[in-house]
Parts: sequence; C-alpha cells; structure tokens
Amino acid sequence: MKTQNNIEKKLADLKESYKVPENYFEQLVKDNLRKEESAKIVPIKKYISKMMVAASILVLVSFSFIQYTNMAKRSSNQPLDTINNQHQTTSSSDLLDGISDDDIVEYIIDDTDIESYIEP
Amino acid sequence: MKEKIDIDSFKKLNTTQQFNQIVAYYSQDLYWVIRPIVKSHEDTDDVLQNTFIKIFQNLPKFRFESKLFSWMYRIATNEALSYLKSKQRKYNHQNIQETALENLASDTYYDGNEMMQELEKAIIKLPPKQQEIFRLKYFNEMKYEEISQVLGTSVGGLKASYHLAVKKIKIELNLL
Repeated sequence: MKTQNNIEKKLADLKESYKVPENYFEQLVKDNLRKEESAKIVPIKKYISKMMVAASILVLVSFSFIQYTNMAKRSSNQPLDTINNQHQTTSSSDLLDGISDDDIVEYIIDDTDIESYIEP
Repeated sequence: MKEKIDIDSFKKLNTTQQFNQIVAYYSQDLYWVIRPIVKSHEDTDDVLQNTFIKIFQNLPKFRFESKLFSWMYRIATNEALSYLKSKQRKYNHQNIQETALENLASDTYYDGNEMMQELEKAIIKLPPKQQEIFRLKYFNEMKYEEISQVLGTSVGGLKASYHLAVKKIKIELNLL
C-alpha cells in the first residue's frame, strides 16, 4: 500500500518536472486570436469564385448549344442538296433510259422526215 | 470534462469567433495533451500551432455529435504522434517516444531528476490506452468521469486499466 502511494505521489509529481516559459499562455492566446475582418473577406472571395465558376459553366453550355444548333441546321439542309444533286446527275441519262432502238426508229419514220431526207 | 463554454451559444458564432473562444479557454488543456507526448516545450509549441490550424480548418465541419474537447483532444494527440513519427523512420509506438525522452534530459524546460526519468521510461512501455489515462489524469488533472467522456471508456474500465498500469510500472521499477 505504501509503495502504491509512493508511486502515485511520484506520478502526481510528473507534471512538476515540466516547466513552461513565463507568460507563455498569455502570449499564445494573443498570437493566435484571429481578427474578424479577415473572416468577413473570406465569404466575399468565396462568393466571387462561385460566381466565376457559374459564369464559366454558363458560357460553356451556351457555346455547346450554339454548336449543336448549327450542326442541326446543316443536317436539315443536306437532304434538299442531295435531292438536287441526284436530279442533276440522273436527268441526262434518263433521257435514253428505257428507250429501245425500235422506239427511236418509229419516231424517225414520219412523212415529213422522209421527205426531207430523200434527196431531191 | 465539463465544457468550459456554453455550447448552445458557441454554435451561433461564426468560425473565427468559435476559434477565438477555443484559443482563450482551451490553450492550456491542449498544451498539456501534447507536452507529455513530445516532451520538449519547443516541439509542443510547434505541434500546438499545427493543432490550432487543424481545428480552425475543421470547425465548420464539426457537428457537435461528440464533446468539443474530445474532438480537439483527438486532433492534438494525432498531431503530436504525427510530429514524432515524422522524426522517426520506422514507426513503433515505443521507439518514437523513447527518442523524445532521450532529448528531454537536456531540455531547458525540464528539471526532472533521475527517478522521474525512470518513471517516464516505464510509462512509455505501457500500452497506448494506459498512457492516455496517465496523461489525462496527471497532466490534464482530469477525474475519471471526465476521462471517460474523452476516451469513451467506462469509469470502471478506466480504474481497472489504471491499477493494472501502476502494477506494471512497479514491476518495471523493481518495486514489486
């Protein structure tokens, strides 16, 4: 029991061995107290940075939308052009398509034609 | 540990105001959480500054689900152990504290005799939980009920751990 008390007394004396410089805690508090003005600035900075991010996102979305609508317009115009091209490319060949040699001969044989053809 | 500040009023303050209250009321308590771990006053001062920074950065996220001091105690303890770990290549709970203890004898702000140093050596050989009980009891001068709130251990468990730790120290010092 005596030994127990001795040990506990020594344990209680442990803290006594550790010294602290004079006025350390007073100076510590002074050095670490923060001014409220700096706390006010932070929310404004946060607000500005949030607004900038929002503006950047808005610009990006708008740009993407404009690009998309331009692409859509080009796509909707293309069928007309294609049709026109198709018409032009096939119109000359269509003239003879489906027409046989007999048809051509039948067309030529005509009184007026023969007369003009026969040499006087 | 009974909170030194009224928590309901504290919650209504902004972060800077809360931090200033913590510095004003808890600086000494946090100092004596750190000093028994890192030993030297200069190192304690450095770690305490780091602890204040961590507290300030994390105050907005603190939800008051635990006691304010319990939360700060954890930060201070982790910062102290991280500080010692950064000075040691291989992390071993006893090794890093032995290193700190070796430097203590030559510290300007320590005047413990040889017996005290032997006692310190015996304490750092204890499991971490038992060391925590010693530090809170003898450096933070807390009662078992207060230690129970900080560590989340029952009062009965704390007393049992404490008596076991004292027995181990006696064996270490050849007093048993």
